[in-house]
Amino acid sequence: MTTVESDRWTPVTLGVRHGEDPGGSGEPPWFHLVPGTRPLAWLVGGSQLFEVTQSDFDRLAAGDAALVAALSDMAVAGPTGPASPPEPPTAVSLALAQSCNLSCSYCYADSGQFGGPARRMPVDVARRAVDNLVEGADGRRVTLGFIGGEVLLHREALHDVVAYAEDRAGAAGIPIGFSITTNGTLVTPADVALFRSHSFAVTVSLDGGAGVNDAHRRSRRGGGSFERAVAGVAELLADPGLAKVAARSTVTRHDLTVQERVEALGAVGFAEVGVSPLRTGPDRQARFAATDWAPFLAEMVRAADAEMERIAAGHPPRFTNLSTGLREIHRGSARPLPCGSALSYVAVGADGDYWTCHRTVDNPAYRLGDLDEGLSATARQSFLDRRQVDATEPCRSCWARYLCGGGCHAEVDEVGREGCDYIRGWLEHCISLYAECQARRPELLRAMGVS
Amino acid sequence: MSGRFVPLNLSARLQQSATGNPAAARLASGVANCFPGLEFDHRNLDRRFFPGLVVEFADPLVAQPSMGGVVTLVDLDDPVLDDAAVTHPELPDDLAALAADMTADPRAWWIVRIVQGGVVIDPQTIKGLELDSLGTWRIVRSLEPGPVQLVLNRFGDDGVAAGEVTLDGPRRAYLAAGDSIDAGYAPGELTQSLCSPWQHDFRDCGCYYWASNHPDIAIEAVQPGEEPGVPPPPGTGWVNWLRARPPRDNVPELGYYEISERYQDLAVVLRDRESADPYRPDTAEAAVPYATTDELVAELRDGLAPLEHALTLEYLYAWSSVRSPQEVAALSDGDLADSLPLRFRADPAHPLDGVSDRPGDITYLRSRLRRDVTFLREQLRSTAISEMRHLSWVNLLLRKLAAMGIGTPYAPALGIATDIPAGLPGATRPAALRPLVHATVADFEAVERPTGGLDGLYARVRATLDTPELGGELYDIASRIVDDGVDHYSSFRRMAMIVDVYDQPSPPHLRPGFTLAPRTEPKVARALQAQRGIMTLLTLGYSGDPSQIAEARGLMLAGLEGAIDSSARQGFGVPLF
Repeated sequence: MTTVESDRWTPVTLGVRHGEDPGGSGEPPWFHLVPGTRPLAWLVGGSQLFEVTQSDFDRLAAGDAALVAALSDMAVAGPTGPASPPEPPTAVSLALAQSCNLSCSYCYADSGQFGGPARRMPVDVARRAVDNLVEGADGRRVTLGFIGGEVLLHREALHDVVAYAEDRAGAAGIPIGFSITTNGTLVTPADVALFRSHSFAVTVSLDGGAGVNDAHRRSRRGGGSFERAVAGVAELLADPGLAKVAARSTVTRHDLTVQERVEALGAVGFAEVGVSPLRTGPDRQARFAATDWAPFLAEMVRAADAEMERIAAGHPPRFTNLSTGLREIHRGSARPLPCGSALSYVAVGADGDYWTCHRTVDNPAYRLGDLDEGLSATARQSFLDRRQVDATEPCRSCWARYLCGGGCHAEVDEVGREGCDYIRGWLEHCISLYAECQARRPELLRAMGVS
Repeated sequence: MSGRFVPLNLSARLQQSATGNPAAARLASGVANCFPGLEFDHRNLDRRFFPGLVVEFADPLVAQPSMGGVVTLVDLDDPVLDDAAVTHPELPDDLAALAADMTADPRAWWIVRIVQGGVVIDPQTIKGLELDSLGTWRIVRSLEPGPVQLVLNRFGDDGVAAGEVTLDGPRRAYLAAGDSIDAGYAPGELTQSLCSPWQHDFRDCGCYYWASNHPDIAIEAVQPGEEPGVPPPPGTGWVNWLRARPPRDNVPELGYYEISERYQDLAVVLRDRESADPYRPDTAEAAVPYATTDELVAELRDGLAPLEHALTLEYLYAWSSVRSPQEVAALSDGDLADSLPLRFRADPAHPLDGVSDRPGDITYLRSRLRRDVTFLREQLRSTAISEMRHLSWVNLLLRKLAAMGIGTPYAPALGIATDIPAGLPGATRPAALRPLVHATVADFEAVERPTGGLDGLYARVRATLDTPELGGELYDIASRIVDDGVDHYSSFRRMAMIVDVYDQPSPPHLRPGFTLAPRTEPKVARALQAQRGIMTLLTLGYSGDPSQIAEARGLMLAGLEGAIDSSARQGFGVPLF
């Protein structure tokens, strides 16, 4: 059993598994007990959180039949899978440029080229993808995302497609949102104006301060990218207009720190910073190994504690891994899949093929059709059926299955599920934090938009 | 059982059943009829059909035909406006201008035309279409997702239109991502109206249909003796919640139209009781734990156990003062008529107050008195038994705490308190054996009153036990005692209603000549001997021999009860302390 002590908040105990298999029936666990100063019961099906007394906690842990039955009275069934056939997606990302001006060591897209030649998406391909998206929307809000490569290498197409999509959505009377992921180094004033006026969700890939960032995020000529990226997004950060700008940091095993990354990127001017561990990619030395997850969890907990202190001191929230986690716990989010991939969201590659998401572009195992033939309902359905947490182990036997959803499809398929203890530990910490805040500091949750 | 799991997040709270609410009180468990229906008013969804506007479907006060949608609010904070502005960039400015205009000019804006997909819905061009409130709502219901154009206008008192405003925007999608209700709706906005007290039809609802918002009966907020200087209102105890206010002859309830106008006179009811003031957490919720477990043990041993014991004996003594139904049956008509209060006699000064002493009426009065004494004796007896049970639970708490190494080693706590809480904080009265007259019942009420003496003390006990180390069973025991207290209080309040009716020298519900006897009186020797035996058995039983407790219980029912009643029937009140 690993115990991660947090200085200021509830300690997290890993490895305690209650309700995993009550009575040894072989049924999936339906509740999970989170120990701590505020003992908690998590009901898996509906992601419901209850506080219990220590004596009830002990009785539940011991399998007290009457109390377990009483708890089951509160439980609801788990989430159902997607409709069959799945509805048309409401989000599409366009790989406008399958190329990049940087050559980050760990890039899953192989410098944006996904293992092939550098390509640009013709404007008419992008427009047809928009047509399909709008036509399938049936009144629902749609999101058009731009992910590369580096999208701004094909700036003309970006500006054209945004204007086109806006017209199409306007004519159909459906709301539309835009998002882009960029390395920030090529942003021009015209791009800034576009992001500001069209409520873009802008995600800038930056790993931390200059030293941390430039260790992996380098230009093709070998120089660091931090200074150029910061200069590129400075104007947007100073006045985001209607845009929402966030930094996304990739954590490698060379440097597992989290809090320092969040602080460094906050200092640059980002109001939101999120981190992700590196599981896959060409740089095997940088990828997480089995021994990295426990210290990484400790780093995440340390960053979460620092964030809570910051918010308690009156600063706005910044660390999005925490605020997102707390928000999902507050809502009682329960889903059988980790993301909208192949369901509400698909990607279109430069050649006009549909892929399950932006990470699987040009990988034949994940192809879902093309713009001419349309999305294959069969391909989507079989992809989704195989990946629901109730259909696969070890997810089926995990209490956190409906919060986690089973992990990124692309990563799991490539390297398996090594980080599950970390995910459970992080979720337990967020659950404990949430309970503590609900009881003693609800204003902190409100400050994080969790209400 | 669900009360022991405290729901924290939204999905957990959804599953919680609030205390007192029936299983069907949640929206999700309804039978899903909607306006025009009873459970959900669909118009609440449609009032925000246009981003940034709140529209009420209402008929204009001034004579304006073909109108039924009035703008009541421009909501510039509507979260969907950001999305709407992407496809309709001019909308935020148009709405801001409308909002500014509404601030400057009080005349209401009405929907006069709706356009979608080239279809113009206009009373001027569509014959037979009445855009009254219902008609307008039906049109709005039929709008499809997508662009819609609204034309608004307003009118002077003379009915002359003042000039149109046109708004273009998307019809609201109603559902946000994940099929949750759009965030534009404020909490409570969708569930407002219908089956609410200000609805005409509310009068016909019964508590078994909408218990959460329509109790049939309730306990009045202010009770006799609770507010110094204020005379008791007529008719205490359980009352009709919909009763006419102020009371009127022959008008038991608010009428259909009255309820729409006077709904605010209906009191909020918490734990059966109407609230006269804004809600404050009661003692049980706000109780301060004892500083130490030693203090807890001392309070249980030296405070609560003797108090429970003293109350048991006070209630038993009062019980023995009341005539049995058989004694009432055996009274001669003459004795009965003489003993009844003035208000029950034929009195020219109060012709409507009572009944005559004609034989038929005497029969009625006898049956009424029999019913009343039966009730008084049963209530006192069961309350005394309940207090005895509490005495044993306090001893159980003490024994379990001692077993956990808390406080002093256990010894049976069977003392008798000399001072009894008297309602106001800190006030006490001497413990006393008294017959059941008005003042006695008032004192019983005072000690059992929620937030009064006894329940406040147990609330502190419970709060002290609300810890992971002590909680669980001990906490449950303390909670049960607190809950019993509410029943005791209700019971005494109903007894007070009866005792007050007979309140006079020599009240007819009491045994004539009933007086506290000296301990040396031979007529009470058998009862006192039984009482001593019971104390010995309880001392042994509480010390760990459960069979002795059963023996004690047997002696209470078979020996003590009969002996006390037998002495009392002869006028000798047993000096139980």
